[in-house]
Formats: sequence, structure tokens, C-alpha cells
Amino acid sequence: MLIDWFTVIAQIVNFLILVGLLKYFLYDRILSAMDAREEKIRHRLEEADSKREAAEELRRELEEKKAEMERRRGEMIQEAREAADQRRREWMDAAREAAESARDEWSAALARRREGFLRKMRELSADQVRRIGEKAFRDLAETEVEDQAVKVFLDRLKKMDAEGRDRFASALAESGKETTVVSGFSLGADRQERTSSRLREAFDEDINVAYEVSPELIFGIELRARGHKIGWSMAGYLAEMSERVSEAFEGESRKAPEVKETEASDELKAEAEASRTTGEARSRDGGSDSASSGAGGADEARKEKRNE
Amino acid sequence: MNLMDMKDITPDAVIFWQWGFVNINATLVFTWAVMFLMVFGSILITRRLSSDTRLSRGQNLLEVVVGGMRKQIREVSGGQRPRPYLPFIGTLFLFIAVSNLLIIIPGYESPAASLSTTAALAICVFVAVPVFGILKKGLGGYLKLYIQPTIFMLPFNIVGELSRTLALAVRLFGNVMSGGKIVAILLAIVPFIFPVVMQALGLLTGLIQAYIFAILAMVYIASATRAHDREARDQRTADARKRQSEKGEN
Repeated sequence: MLIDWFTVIAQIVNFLILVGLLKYFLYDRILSAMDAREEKIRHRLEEADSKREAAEELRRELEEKKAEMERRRGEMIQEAREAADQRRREWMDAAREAAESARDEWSAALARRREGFLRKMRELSADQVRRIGEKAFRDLAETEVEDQAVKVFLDRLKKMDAEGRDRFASALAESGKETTVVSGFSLGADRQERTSSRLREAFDEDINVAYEVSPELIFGIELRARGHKIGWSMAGYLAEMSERVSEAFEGESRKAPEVKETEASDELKAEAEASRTTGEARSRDGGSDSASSGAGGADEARKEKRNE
Repeated sequence: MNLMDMKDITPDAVIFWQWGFVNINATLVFTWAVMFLMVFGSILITRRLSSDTRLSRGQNLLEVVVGGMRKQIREVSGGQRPRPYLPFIGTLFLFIAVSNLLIIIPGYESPAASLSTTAALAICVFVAVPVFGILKKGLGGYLKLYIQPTIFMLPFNIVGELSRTLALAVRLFGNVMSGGKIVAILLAIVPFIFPVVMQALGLLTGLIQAYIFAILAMVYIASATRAHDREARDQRTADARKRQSEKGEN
């Protein structure tokens, strides 16, 4: 008999006991340990996932911040560059204005100084000429000349036209027949007598004639009555001469810039001439260039000169 | 050295102590030895279990074994949770495997070479099938399986139930017993080298038999606990959908 039933029963019992023991000592413990580990790993993975997500989020944020900073940096650089350009332009403008105003002031001052100098020069020259003239005539003044001066004066009175004579007569009447003869030199009694008689002949027998000496007239004689004046004097000539001299200086001062321009155009002409000559020389060397190209070269040179 | 003579086919024949019906034979003694070894080893290893990623070699071995068994159970049972079946099926496999692997020790006789032991295990399976079936599907649901696909299949189902239990017992007994006998016979004929190869083959056979026994037991239990094919299909699709939705949620 291969089967011993007692053994069978005993083995069944043994097996069931073994199942119970292993369930308690092996399966439950091992499985709970495995489950715990799985749970732990799952937890760690979740944690890692969440951390990775957080890191990813942080990375995105940082990327955005970085991009924002880059953008702002670019903007700031652009702004700074624009501001610098603006400031540079302003400074350049200011400097240019300052330079222009300085130049204007300088040229104005220069003009003023030139004007002043010319005026002084004019005055000095006129004065000097007048002084020289006066001195010369004073030195020359002798009796015969003085007589001649009186004669000329009296001739003038005689030759005076009717209209002038009437005007003076009316002035004389208004002044109560008082008249003054002013002369640059002392007339002397003889000449005074002659002059007075001649005046009475010409106008009226009752007039009173006074005599004055005025060195300013230098060599002249004047008849004055109530604002009217008839006479002849060297001072008129000298005044005219001073005026002429002044006019000459005026003309000179006005002419000064024109002279500059003329000089510039002369330079241009000289350069154009030079370039024309070189153009001709080139055409001679090349053989094919025409003379007009030389003229064009001159034009170009002139243009360049103007641009400068 | 051998406890058994050649004429003794089963270790039941080696009786150490007898009192009427009750006797203590080699089968029981070796069974206790195996049980002591397994339980003591388990206690030793599971005394300090680590749930961290660093673990002892023994824990690693047990985890591999238990994890493998769990996986096999899940596959054979058609995706059922392995936890309720693990103690029974796992103990079947481990007990037979350890019993057979210990034949490497001289003087040891595998309890599985005793028809009494294999019969006892087969009876356990025979009882476990309806127990698990009723626990899972209820009494009516379990009994309905016997009249599937028609009522006329009832006798055949009952015969099949009995015959497969018998086959379980005899297959294991035959394989293990024959392995031991072959080694003994070969030792008589060729004393050197060849019996070692046969002994190694015996180890392999023993392990395979343990696997076959456990897998078949699981198949029988699964056939009793698993829903009908259509229901199973529906269940599987529902499970798949649920898993997908869970994945989607994650």
C-alpha cells in the first residue's frame, strides 16, 4: 500500500501549518516591506516629479526674467545711445552757436574798431589838412593878400544878383540896420572905412557896421545880418577839403570787403587757370582728351573751391 | 547511509516509531525538517526587513521569489489580485521545491517521493478549489460551473475534478520517486560521475515538478474563481479602461 492515510492526514495538517506560518513570517512581511518600498519609491517619484515641475517652473520664470532683462538692457542701451546722440547734437549746436556768436561778436568788434579807427583817421586827416592849410595861409597872409581878400569880398558884393541883394536888404531891415563884418584878420581903419562906404552904397546910408575878428575864418570876410550871411573865406575851401578827405576814407572803408572778394575771385581764377593748364597738359599726354575736359576740370575746381 | 532499501518505494515505509494507527515515518520527519528550515529561515530573514532601497541578500532573494510567484499567479489567474492565493500556491511551490532541492544532501529523502504527501497536497488543492471558488463567486456561482456549458456535462465535470486531483498526486509522486530510484539504480551500475549528472537532473526535475504542481493548482483555482469567458472579457476591458483613465489622471 503506497498511501498511508495517517501520513496523508498528518501531511495535510503539516501543510496547513506551514501555510499559516509562512503567511505570517514570510509573505505578509515581505509583501508589506515591498509595498512600503513601492509606496516610498512612488512617493519619491511624485516628489521628484513635483520638484522637477517646480524646477521647470522656476526655469521658465528665470528664462522669462532673463529675456525681460535682455529686452530692458537693449532698451536702456538704445535710450542711452539716443540720449547721448541728443546731448551730442545739443552740445554741437550750442558750440556752433557759441562759435558763430563769438565770430559775429568778433567781426562786429573788428568792424567797430575799423570804423572807429577810420573815423579817427578821417577826423585827424581832415583836421590836419585844415591845420596845414590854415598855417600855410597864415604864414602867407600879407597886406597885399589881405587887400586882395577885401577886394574879392567887395567885388562879390558888387556882383551880387538882385535877388540875393533884396533878401539881405530885408534881413538888414529886420535887424534894425545893424550888420557885422567878420574877418579872419584885422582889417585896419582904412579897409574898414572902405568896406563901410561900399556897404552903405550897396544897401543903405544909415546902416551901422560893426567889425569882428574871427581867426576861424582864416582868410575870409563875412557880412552877417540877422541869420543871413554873405562872404568869402578860406574856411569854406578847407571844410570842403576835409569833407573830400572824409569821403575818400568812407569810400575806402566801404571798399575793404569788396577788395577781399576780388582777391578771392582772383585766386579762383588763378587756380582755374592752373587746372586748365594741367588739363591741357593731361590732354597733351593722353592725346585723346579734348580741351573741354580741361575746362570741365576748371569748373570742378571752382565748384570745389566754393564748397570749401 | 541510505534509510531506504531498494524495495522501499516510498519513505513512508521507513518507520521510526509506531503506536497502532499512529506512526512516525521518514516522510513526516523530513517534512518537519523542511518546515523547520523554511520557517526558521523566513524568521531569520524577515526579522530585519528594510523598506528602503538598500536591502539584505536574504530579503532580496525572498523578494525575488515572492515577486516572481505573485507575477505568475497574476498571469495564470487572468489578471486577478494574487494576494489571496499567494500563501497557498506559494507554500505549495516552496514546500515541494525545497523538499526536492534538499535531495542534494546525502541520506535525505524528499517527502514528495511519498504518495501520501503528494496525495495530501492534491487533497488540499481539491478542497481549496471550491473554497476559493465559493469565496469569490458565492456557492451558487461556484456550483453553476459544474453544469457548464450544459447540465449534461455535470458527471464529466465531477470526474474531471477528481481525476485531475489524482493526476496531480501521482504525477508529483512518480516524478520525484522515479528520480530518486534512478539515481539509486545508476549508483549500483555506474558508481562514478553519471549518478552526479542524474542527481543534477533530479534537482532540475524536482524544481520543474514544484512549478508544475503550483501552476496547475493555480489553474484549477483560477478556473473556479474566474468569471465566464464573456464576463472575463468584459471585466478585462473594464479593467483596461480603468487603468487607462488612471494613467490619464496621473
